[in-house]
Amino acid sequence: MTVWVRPLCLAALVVTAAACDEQPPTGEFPETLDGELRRSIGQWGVVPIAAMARQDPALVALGQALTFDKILSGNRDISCGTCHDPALHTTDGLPLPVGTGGTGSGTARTLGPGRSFVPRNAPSLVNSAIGLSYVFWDGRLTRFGPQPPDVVLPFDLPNVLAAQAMLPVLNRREMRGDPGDVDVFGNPNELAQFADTQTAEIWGAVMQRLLAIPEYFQLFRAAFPHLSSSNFTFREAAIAIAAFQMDALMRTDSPFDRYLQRDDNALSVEAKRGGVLFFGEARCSSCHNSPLLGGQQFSNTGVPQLGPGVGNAAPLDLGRGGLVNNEFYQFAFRVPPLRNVELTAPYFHNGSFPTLESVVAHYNDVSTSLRSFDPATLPAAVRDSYHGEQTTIDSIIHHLDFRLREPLRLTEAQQRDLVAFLKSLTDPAARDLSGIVPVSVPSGLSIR
Amino acid sequence: MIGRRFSANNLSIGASVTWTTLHALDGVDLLYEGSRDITQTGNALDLRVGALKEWPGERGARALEAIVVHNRFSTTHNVLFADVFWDPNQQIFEEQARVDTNYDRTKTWGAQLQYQIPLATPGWRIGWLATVNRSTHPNGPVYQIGNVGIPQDPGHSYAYNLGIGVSKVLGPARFGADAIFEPIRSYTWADATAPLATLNGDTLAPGAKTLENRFSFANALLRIGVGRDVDLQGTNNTIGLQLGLVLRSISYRLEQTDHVQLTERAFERSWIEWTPTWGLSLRFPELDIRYQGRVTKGAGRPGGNFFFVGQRDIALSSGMLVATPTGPLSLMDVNTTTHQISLSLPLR
Repeated sequence: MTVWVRPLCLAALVVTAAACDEQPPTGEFPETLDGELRRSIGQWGVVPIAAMARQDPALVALGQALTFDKILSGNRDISCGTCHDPALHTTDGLPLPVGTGGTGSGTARTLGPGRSFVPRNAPSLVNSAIGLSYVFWDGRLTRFGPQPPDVVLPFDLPNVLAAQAMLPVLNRREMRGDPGDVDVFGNPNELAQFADTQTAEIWGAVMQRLLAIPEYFQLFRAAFPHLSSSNFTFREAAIAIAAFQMDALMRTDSPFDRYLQRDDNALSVEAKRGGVLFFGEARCSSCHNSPLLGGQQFSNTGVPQLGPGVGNAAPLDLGRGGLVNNEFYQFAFRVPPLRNVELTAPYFHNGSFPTLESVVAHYNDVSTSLRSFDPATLPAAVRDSYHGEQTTIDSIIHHLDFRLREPLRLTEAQQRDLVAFLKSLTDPAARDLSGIVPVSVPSGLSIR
Repeated sequence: MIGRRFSANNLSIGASVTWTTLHALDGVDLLYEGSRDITQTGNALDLRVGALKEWPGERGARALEAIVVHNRFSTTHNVLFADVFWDPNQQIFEEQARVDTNYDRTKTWGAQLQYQIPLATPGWRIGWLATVNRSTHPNGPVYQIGNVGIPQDPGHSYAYNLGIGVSKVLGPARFGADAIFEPIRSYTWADATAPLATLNGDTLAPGAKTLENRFSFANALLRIGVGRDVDLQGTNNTIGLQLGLVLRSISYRLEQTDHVQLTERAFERSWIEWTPTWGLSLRFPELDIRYQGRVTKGAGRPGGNFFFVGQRDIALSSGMLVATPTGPLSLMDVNTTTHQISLSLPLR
């Protein structure tokens, strides 16, 4: 018997000893990239976006014509599509837009004599109908808040896009022009003669122009058959412009969107690594979150001051902090939604960073980036309007978003991955928007 | 089940067929977190053929037992999810129903040999055990637990059992001990369903392996127990006492090769579960009262931020296959104490 028991006991000891040299299973399993990314995404409320329903074709046709017709501008020289140029993915490619009086198109567009830049970058209209809470860089127009302080909008506008479409025709720099201006035919600019407070009169004058053109009259009648022609107002024009944006400018089928719909192969490895950074270590998602990847809040991201400025703070631009009762938000601007961001350079509210790479590098160390900002990186036309005074920089940094006060210390490889992720937000169908441009517009004015 | 004994040869043979329909396997709901409803349909087939050959001897019979098993496990899970999405038309979050149909299929072939022989010393017996199982499965369901997927990629597993044990019966006292070594090898992979770019710019063709997992388990089990019956003098009553100890050592290594990210990683874990047991039985002519207790220490249970279904839960629903989670697991130490009291009344 002894012959058998001894080996058995020895085996038992070996088993016990072998098992005792490791810790209990309380560690973490190494996570796959997809597992880590999906877990990260899940924390930020990022979900797929449904398709936008098709809009009334008659409404869309009217909105398309209005979007590209320069007749809406006082001098008949600029349309919505000038600064929201489909050839440039509904931006103008410029740091700061050139409004009425300018010449040329796209990045070749230049200021007219005596004119100044529009103080904030022209945002892309792609996905503007996605459901943003705030419109404009300072968010002065919101879909659930009070109306802008300086304008009385029609009370029954159906959505914030239509409300937004009411406003550019009122803005002297953007579309209306200054007193004494003459239009491209040498005729007096009647829209510019009104005081800034006479908004109803300005909208009425624009409608007079439009309804004087038979084709527009027919377009309005087709789009609003339930209204008598005497009741057509600029409200209807704005509704049509919004319908056109909803119908023609939604682009939400990016690789990232397909990844959200459980297609693990939709993203490259670099983009996935960048996504893990975006929703994690790089903290981008603390602002760029929710289904829209932004658009819900305001942040002072330490962007250099550039341009003619806004309001009483000019030549500085305090952003949302310039609005009454929002002084807390000094130098804070709306966090933009990020789909198709690859196509909408230059970046930030004043276009002061030309590439996604430069944006990511800025976020990597905001304070250093701001203090060492080189205005030579700006286009010559806006270079002189850079406000790099020490007091300005100190003030921006003093009010810097708390999430950006410490450097991220991302490596160059990590920054490249982040850029790869940002490029994965591009819907291929957003690269070529030439199909939304009409051949001609009812006024007969040139489209470009 | 059928069987026959050939007394002349001291040989017994038997065979059994079990077919079970399955509609609600325990634990499956835990594998689909966030699901609204799970409809399970399936069946399990178990075929066994066995033989027992005995060689009588002066100190007791030698015995050789052989069993061949074939098992097929097949279930279908129709899982209803409500996917949240953003509706830009109404500018609100909405839910959309989605039904995922997952197929859980496993085929297992197994064989076991047991041999026991009395030793020269009276009362002692020794036995050996050897088992081999091979399981194959096609692409199984990808269980989604939170944002952590637990894919069951196609693959196969080999599981072995090698054991030895001794026992002694000396009057009213009994002693037994055995040691079993359980190596398991599992190989699973994921296939590319479409051309897939790798990190270095190459393209994996559809059907190419994107991920390979190699699990190596080296589990061991040691059990020791003693028991003693004590007759209460002057009565027909008996008190029985039992003490035992089970030591289970679990040790595994995962080697994973990702042909898309071009990474390799290895992960090792081992731990011990030890279970002291004790028992007391009171046998009266009219009834038996038994008490058994056990404490299992060192076993992990899901915990922490991310829920992970342990190997045994996976086994419950998928035929003893090993799945590779894609995310972090957090197993927390627990002690499981069991007290069992039973009362037996003979029916006469």
